[in-house]
Amino acid sequence: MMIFRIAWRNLWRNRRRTQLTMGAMIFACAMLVFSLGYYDGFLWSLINNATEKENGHVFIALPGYYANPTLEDACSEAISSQIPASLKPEIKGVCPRLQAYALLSCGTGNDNRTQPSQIIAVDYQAELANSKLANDMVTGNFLSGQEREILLGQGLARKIRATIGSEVIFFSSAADGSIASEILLVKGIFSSGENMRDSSLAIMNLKAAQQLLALEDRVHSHRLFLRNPMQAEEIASQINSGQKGLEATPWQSIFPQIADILKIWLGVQLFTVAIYYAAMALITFNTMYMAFLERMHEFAVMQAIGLTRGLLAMLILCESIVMATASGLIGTAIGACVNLVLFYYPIDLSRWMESITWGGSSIQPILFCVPSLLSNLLPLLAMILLGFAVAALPTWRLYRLKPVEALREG
Amino acid sequence: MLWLKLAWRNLWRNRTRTLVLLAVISGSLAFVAWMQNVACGSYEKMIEDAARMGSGHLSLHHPNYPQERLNELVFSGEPAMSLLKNREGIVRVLPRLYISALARSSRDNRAVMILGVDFERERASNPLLQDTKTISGQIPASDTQNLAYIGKRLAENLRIDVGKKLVVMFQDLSGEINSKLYRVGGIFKSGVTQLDSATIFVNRHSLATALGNSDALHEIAILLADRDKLPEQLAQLAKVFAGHKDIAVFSWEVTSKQIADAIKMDSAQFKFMIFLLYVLVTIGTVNLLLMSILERTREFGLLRAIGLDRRRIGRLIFFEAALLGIIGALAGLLFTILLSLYSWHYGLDFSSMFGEAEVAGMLVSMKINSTWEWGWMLGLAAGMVVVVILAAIYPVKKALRAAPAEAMRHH
Amino acid sequence: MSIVSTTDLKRVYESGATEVKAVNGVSLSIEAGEFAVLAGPSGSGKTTLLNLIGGLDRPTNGSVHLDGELLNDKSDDELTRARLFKIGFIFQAYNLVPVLSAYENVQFILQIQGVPDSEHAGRIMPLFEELGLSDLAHRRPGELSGGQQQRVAVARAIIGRPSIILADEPTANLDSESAVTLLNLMHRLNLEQKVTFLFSSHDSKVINIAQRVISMRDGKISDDVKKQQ
Repeated sequence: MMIFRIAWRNLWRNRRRTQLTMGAMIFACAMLVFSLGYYDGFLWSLINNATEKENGHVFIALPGYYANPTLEDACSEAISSQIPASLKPEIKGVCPRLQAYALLSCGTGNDNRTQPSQIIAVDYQAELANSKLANDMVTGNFLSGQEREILLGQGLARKIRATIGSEVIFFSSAADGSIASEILLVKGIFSSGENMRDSSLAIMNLKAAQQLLALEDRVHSHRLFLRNPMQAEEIASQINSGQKGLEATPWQSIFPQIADILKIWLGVQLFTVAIYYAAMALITFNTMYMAFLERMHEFAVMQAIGLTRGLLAMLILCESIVMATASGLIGTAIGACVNLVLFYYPIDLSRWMESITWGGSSIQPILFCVPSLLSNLLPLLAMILLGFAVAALPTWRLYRLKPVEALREG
Repeated sequence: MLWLKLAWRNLWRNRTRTLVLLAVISGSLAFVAWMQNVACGSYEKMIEDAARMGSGHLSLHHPNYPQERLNELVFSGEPAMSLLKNREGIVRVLPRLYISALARSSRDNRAVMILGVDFERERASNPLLQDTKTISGQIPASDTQNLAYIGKRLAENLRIDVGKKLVVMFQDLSGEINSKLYRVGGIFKSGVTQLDSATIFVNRHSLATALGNSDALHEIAILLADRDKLPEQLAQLAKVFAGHKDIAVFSWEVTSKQIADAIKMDSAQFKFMIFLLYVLVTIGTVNLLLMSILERTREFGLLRAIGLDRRRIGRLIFFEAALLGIIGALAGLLFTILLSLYSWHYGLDFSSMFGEAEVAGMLVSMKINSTWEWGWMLGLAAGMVVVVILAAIYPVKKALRAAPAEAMRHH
Repeated sequence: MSIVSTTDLKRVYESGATEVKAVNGVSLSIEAGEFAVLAGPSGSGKTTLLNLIGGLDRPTNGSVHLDGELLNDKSDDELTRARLFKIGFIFQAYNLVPVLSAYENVQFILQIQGVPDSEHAGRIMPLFEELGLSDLAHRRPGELSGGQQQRVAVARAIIGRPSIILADEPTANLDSESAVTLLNLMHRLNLEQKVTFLFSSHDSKVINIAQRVISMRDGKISDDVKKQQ
């Protein structure tokens, strides 16, 4: 149709103006896509840090254990039979865990250093398959199922002056009230980036801990790792409704602040879109409106030769939408590329800042983006909507246009 | 003056266009400057809270303590306290002892941090040690030796209540594992997970004695009357304690590095937004000036024909841009002041959206009162004027390129 | 049969406190096949009268009939449709759509009239041949001389097979050679294809060639002369 042709050619009539306006739109759109990708990356790593590293997506334990964990409240090691078969395809894996507190000491005589520590005991194979615990190793290796292995957090190792191969004395009380004591060998040292955690946490093999703490064949919790973390609440409630003996807690209840953010996330994104586009909308409007005023005479001629106002409105709309859509597509493409690059090659900022604990998880010092469909589509759709909005005033003016007067001016 | 008048009238030849651009300039400026005021208000609050809940504006430690956090890195309290006494600009000094220990009840055990404090002093300034946070029992009096004030979650985990016994085990300065018995005197709920689940406040002297040196301290937190004086105070105190090998002075930026980093991250994101808006304003201004110049090509040709040289015409357009920038900046400042007046006086309450956020191990209130960052406001306004004037370069070049005769034929 | 008829047509402009009676009681009838000119000095109301007849402007008083239909009652969009199908406009300043080629400018009318695409070339090319525009079909208005642009404007006015062509000072911007060529072309179209023309002009070349000269003065018809041919 000729209208599209006219619209397209009109855009290039004042080439510089169109380039500048489109430049502003492309720039804003690309920046917006990048920012939303960055926000998503931020949330994504917040959730990942909270869940995948250690906690898991659903926490299953004896009723009351989650709220108030005690050493003796342990459940059976076997969990498979307790999970409804219908849920199994959604579950990536299960990690059984024991949790205890102990004094760890290293060295003898005057060189002896003792620190209270939180101990988690894990099935190393399950962890390697499901959690990201093993990714944090800085020296040595992750557990391999050998006897007397222990991993220390970096801060803890420094405090008790232990290195790879050091002997560490474990001292605590077992579930039956007896003294639990053992000599362990440091297999590796990990650093999660969270100082508080790293200066008090140690990890050991589940089998050894079960013997030491008199909890044979029992564990404190089973952590479910899901294929889709967003299903955690649903799966937890299904387990809870079917089971009397165990209690499932989704990660959203464990990290309520993160879950809260997730709830208002769309709002946050829309707000960002509004801020990024507000100034640009005015600039685009200005250009479109000026271009319209300049061509008043032309529109009057078109009315004189028989174009209805509806057709003319379409012409204006066309120009605006073409410009908005083209800019939106280019901007989205640029922003998405930046996001993709930062997704695969995040920029490490740990030289400038350390990780910040937030709502039970931590904000890592990296510039990292997640290119989600929404963060790409939202700016594009908003841009096209903007195209409509910007055309509104010219169209309204058009309806009040008196062809004779406009013609006389020419 | 005539130039100014000419520039002024030219701007208003197309009212809509100029008004829209002024809206962009002043709106962008008001937005960033106001956000800056609000952000600085929230930083201010975070820093003050961090100072009060944490290690003060300035703090004294063993030189290696902030890095290592080892029980054995202590310094002598008495000489340091007496040197700090009656120093100008210091409103409060809080001596503290931090010991990581294993807390045991008859039912369970937990890794905890014991804080040896002076209860009276803390109550006067620490938002965490307040009666409003106490949910049962009470904050122990200063002279009680063996009462502990513990977090709610910890009490639940250890299954103990007010009046019950609690044993803490830690390594003393001689390297021996030492046990000490406390009774629960009060239970608090702060809302900060770390504090509620793993912190015990006790009398400093009783803890220091158990550690093996009744005068030992890990920290003296110092609250200043005026945080702007922090660099001078830091330098003065460093001089005062220069002779003490076991004492060094640190600022909150070191001891609360997470807060400092959180602020850094936030302000970096903010600068990104400022940059973005400046770019958009630049493009908008170039566009507007370009349009108004192309419209007036004939007029410029005429002016050149009657004898105005290129420099003068260029100056005219720059005048127009400068005028636009200055009016926009002034309007923007006015909006900023109006918005900030509201957020300064009434505050902005985001708590319905976010609740109280727990950031970097402390509770951040979501009710923010903005501050007045005049330096920023004026700087941003000046930046806006500069950006608008710079944006005139290309259009001026474009306008001057046309030869008079050619320009007049145009139209 | 009369294509256009006006009765006691008046158009008053208010300009500040003063009233300008641009057209002040004109009753006029144009018959099919006429080649008529509204003559008179500038300000005599020629253009206003043309605009009223073309439905671009609304009368303060009196009525306009086009092809027997009363224009006064029609809505703006109905007037636009009437212009599309029944009236061809030719302006002093050509007023071609600058971003469309000569051919497209003409085709544009057929397209909005809803004529199937397959018929376009068959209708436009013979007309271009006639007007000597065949080689210029793909040039944009900016690449054409004034006379050429005005010939494209004539093609645009005539392509929709309107009942009447209204031409407002069509030769005013042209040199005399181009003006003569243009007038001869229009005259031939009038004679051969029976296209009805109503000009406004004070150009003697136009007045000489016209078959009927309607003189206007101060918004009124002062003289109406039909030449015998």
